[in-house]
Amino acid sequence: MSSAPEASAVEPPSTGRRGRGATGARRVLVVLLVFGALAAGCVLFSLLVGATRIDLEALLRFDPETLDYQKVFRHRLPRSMAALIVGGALALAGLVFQALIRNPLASPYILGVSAGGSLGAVLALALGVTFVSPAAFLGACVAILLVYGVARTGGRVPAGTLLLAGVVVNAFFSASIMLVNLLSARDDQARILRWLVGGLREDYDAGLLLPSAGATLLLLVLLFFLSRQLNLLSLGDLAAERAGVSVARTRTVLYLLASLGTAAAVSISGPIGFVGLIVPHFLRLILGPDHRLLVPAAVLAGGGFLSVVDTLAQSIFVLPLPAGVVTAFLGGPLFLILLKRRDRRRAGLDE
Amino acid sequence: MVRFILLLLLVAQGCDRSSVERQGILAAQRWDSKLFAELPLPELEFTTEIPGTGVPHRIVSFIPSVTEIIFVLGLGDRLVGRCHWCDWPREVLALPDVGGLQNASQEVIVDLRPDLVVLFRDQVELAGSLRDGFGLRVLTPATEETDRIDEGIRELGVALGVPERAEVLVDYLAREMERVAARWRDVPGPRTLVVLDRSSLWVPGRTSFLEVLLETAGAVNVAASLDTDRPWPSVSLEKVLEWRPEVILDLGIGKAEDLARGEAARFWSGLSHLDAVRNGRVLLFQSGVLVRPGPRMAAVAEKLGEILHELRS
Amino acid sequence: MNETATAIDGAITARGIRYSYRGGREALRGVDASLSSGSFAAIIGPNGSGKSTLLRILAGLLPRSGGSLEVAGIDPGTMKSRHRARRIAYLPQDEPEELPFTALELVLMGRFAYQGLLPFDRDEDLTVARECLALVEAQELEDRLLVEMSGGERQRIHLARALAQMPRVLLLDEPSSSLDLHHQIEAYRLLRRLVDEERRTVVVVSHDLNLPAAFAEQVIVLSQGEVHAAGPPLEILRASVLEPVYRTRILEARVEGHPFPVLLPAP
Repeated sequence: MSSAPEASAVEPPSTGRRGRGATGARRVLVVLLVFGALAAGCVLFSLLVGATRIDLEALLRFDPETLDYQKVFRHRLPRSMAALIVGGALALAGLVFQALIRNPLASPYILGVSAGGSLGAVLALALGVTFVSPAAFLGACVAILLVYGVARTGGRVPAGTLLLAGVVVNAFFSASIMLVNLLSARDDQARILRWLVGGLREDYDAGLLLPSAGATLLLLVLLFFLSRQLNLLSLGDLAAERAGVSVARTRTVLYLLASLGTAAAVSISGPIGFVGLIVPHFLRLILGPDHRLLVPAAVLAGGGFLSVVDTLAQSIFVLPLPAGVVTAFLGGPLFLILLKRRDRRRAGLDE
Repeated sequence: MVRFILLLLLVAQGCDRSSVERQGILAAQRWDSKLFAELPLPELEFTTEIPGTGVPHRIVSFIPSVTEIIFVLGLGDRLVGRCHWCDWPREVLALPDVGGLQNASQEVIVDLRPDLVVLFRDQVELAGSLRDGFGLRVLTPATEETDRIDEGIRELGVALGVPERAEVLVDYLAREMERVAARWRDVPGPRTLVVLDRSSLWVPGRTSFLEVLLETAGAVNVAASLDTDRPWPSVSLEKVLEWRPEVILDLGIGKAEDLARGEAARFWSGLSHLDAVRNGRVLLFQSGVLVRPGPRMAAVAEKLGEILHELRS
Repeated sequence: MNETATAIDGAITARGIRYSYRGGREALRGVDASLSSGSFAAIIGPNGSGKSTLLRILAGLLPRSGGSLEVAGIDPGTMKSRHRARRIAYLPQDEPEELPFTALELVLMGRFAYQGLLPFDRDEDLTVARECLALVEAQELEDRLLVEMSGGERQRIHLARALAQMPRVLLLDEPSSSLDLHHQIEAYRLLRRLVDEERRTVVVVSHDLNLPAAFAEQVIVLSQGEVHAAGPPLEILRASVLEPVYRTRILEARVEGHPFPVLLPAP
């Protein structure tokens, strides 16, 4: 945040209403620190809480031979990292899709990317192929290209067509998934159902997590540099174009980035719902509409949120639940609360 | 194009598998994974003949264990249709497949003109439809419930018109199970973890049939301590760590055996901090007969006991 | 603001501009227009005459179907968005109302074309934004959310945003439609000042015949996609010229203190 230079005769006014002013590096840093601390707290929570109890004293001896050490550092830590990556990527993707489609109901899954990923995974499971994650990623990419190809009109991907294309591709892939499921062996069907619910595993290895983390980080950085464009796009395509944004190209790039982020997330954990829908909304309530703040906050809040939800899913019941089930349960009422607040705000303003 | 991609995936997987197996995860696998699946049916001596009347002539069976029982009771030639999962004895594979739990083909069943259809308890709709809609005789025996297997066999015996033969089978099984249990009664049992599905980590609860098998085989089912009545609860890996099993039986090998083997090896090699994995005591078997409370159960239990105790020493 | 006396010419030269919709209907059938740098023009005409379409084409936001065009030294249809935005600013008739941003944030967004890779607002952006708000007499609204403003206030903020682009050419579609008398006059006076003091070029599309007349040097009358007449207001804003275009009787009234006759539709 900068102050007006002395040369200007215009001074910041003192108004009755406290406003936001301009967004500078300092404000972004504050957001990063606050949400970073929150995310770190969530990760700590997920390390200490889980399906079984941990003896804290034993843990703090940091002896690799002890059960507690193995549980926390060989299982809970990779799982937490995966939650950060998946939750962060989904929240970012959701944020971008909501800006691209200018519809608060937009989620990373509305455009068929996750259905494509699920189909790839389901086919792999039904055929007995081990590499489910790469198959899922491949399937998601097919869906991305398909939606893009269908939605493209004259070099750009307009909001309305994008949404329609996504819904259609989604429906097609979902039907295909059902078909494959019906035709597969009983054992495979159980595994397919498990995948479709969406959840994190306890046995991630560095070979999968490191590149995914790198990809999510890259996504964050690229989207951060595009955050002004996101702001302008939320005003409308025309408004963005006249301000100097190459709308056609920017929309395409944003669509691809968000879709690839979703594809990566889905290929790690299957389709976990609501994170990409709820987290951006909550953040907008707290931080406002500026994407320069929303983008860094989304990745941290999304990751922390999923990490906590997953930990709860593991520990509340006798038997561990997949995270996808819990987000589905939480998501509905949370979304209703959000909608109510929005309506109340709007109604209040109309008076 | 799709085939090409699949091929790529398979090749990549193949490369991966060989490096993993080199680690010797499956070093203990000196037994064929189909070992249990191919155990022979018991041959019993019956004193009674098969009556000419009151015995169904065209039987369709949806329950794999019942299919086996029918053969053991000497009525195998009356089977006209089998379910998708009925695979023993080998003769039944020649029979028409009437589908599985989810995709049972009513048409095919009715077309076979059966005078007895044996269904699972769960197949309520199909049972109702065959009974009320087509007037067929339907039986849903208790054979799949761990503590009511004998009752189920007797039910079957009555329906098949050979109750005395059923009684012979019940006695045989009781004797054999006791004999097998006695072999290892005084020997400390290996702590055994059985996993039916790696991705969900389904383990046999204390009400499952596998618990009976393990107990008879003189092994300790680590999952029996779970406080649940579900036969196949799913657990977290942390629980597995706490259990510290000495031997692991992975029943996730199915049709695409080579691929599943590679996947299993990869999965367990990631858990090298488990004693069983470190000592190379992970075994892979086809699951079918191990979860089937049928006439081979004593033979299965005995084989299981032999393997587990041999590994242990 | 006053340091923008660059050498870029703000002239507009349009020859034979055509535009057809996908369905084939022709909105513009060969429009010629010529504005020198530092001039103020008004485009008037009945509904459907193609005014807004022409303005969009001049802004480079609509691809023309034919003809040649040069605005501020470039062809806006082929220029990269960012470069175009530094030279040409366009203000449409309607803007979405539900914008959750503050006035300052919105005006700062107008600075996009000048900002680099880092998405932060720099001191100079802040200065320019505040100056633009002052120009439209909206300094007090700086921290107010747009959704909490009246239509007129919003329109002034949008104008400030266009000004923040520091363009050579301003293309405005009905810039005063929501403004009260005071702000209407102030807006046009502001535009006139920009033309006189900074040699910018301003083109306004307007339904109101009288207000632009007082400020513009050139009036272009469009009718059914063609230029019906073009020239200084004194010549053009006459009932004889305009009655065939608007197809209604027009009264000319001489008002003391007003340089041209005031035009009113006959009741």
